[in-house]
Amino acid sequence: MKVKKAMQLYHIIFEDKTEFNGGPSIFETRWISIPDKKIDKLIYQLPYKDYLVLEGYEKYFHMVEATMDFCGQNKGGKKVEYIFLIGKKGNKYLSYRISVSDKEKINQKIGDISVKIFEEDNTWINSLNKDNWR
Amino acid sequence: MSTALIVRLNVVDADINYQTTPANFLAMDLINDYLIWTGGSDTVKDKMTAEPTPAELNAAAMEISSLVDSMVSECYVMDYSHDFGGAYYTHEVIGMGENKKYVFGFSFDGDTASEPALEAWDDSDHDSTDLHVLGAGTPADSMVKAVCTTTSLPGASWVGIAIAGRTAGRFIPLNDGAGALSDLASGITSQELYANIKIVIPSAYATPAAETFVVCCRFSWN
Repeated sequence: MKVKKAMQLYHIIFEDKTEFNGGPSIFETRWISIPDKKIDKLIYQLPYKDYLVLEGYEKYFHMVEATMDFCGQNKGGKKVEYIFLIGKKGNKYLSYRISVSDKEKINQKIGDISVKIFEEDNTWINSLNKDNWR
Repeated sequence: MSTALIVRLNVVDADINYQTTPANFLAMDLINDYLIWTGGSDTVKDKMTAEPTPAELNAAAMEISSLVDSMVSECYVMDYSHDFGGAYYTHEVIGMGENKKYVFGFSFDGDTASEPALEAWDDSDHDSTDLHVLGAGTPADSMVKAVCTTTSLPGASWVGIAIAGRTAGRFIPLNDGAGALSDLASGITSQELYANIKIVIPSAYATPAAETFVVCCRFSWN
């Protein structure tokens, strides 16, 4: 697979062979700006600059999850914890959760990926923003 | 751009929401401001003119009753900049633990990818709940009780959910289970979700402690 050297956060190849570059960072993803066309392949840059490729799904969802402490040991600002990439195929949803913060007590490192499959009636899947599937 | 969150505390009238009267809400400076959960005293109180010292805070600690569960009676925001409504360092969070709706506000400047949630943890690593106040390893025993008040009042003598960690049922979805936030409606620059939070110490709890647990809002963007 040929990946452009100066790739942004992600790169999309549509079924019509046109392409789209994501934003420069997880704070400026350009996900909402993706044209309304069928995606063939989503190539996502992981924290250590390797790539995760999702291909052949009907719909794709990208989410950056952050936390903000407001009681206790406040450290100020938002802390990004995970990136989610989800692909929908039939009534199954395959979710990749990519860690972007260390969690020592549960032995979780930046770059760790966990994969889960959800059914269509899953509460969490249904709570996702329905307007932002691509 | 990523969605921004501002935590807003009602320090005037917990029957009125942020959109109606923004001036009733103090926007937390999350680097310098902090919450003080206390029994209160003649010194540690609303509208202090200096930051309370550790000794003053210890002297105002909540006493554990041997007979009844005790709600920590006061919650103050320590306003480092002391520039809200006069030169005061502390402001009472109005309506904390009461049958009030607009107490802890979470203000978003756009849509979200999933439903924002309220969680409690030992520290900012968000990977353990071992503190006594969080149930000492049993999240269901957490003394931190919360209720989503975005769409309705919590009810008289509300019990709330014991929050600790991220397991099912131990955190609070802040949109009343209605899912992610949509785009902002026309003409507004933010949309708010609300919760009420209290700390209830079980009667005769055997281990007095001063603990700096973390409460956070988890949110997301696409």
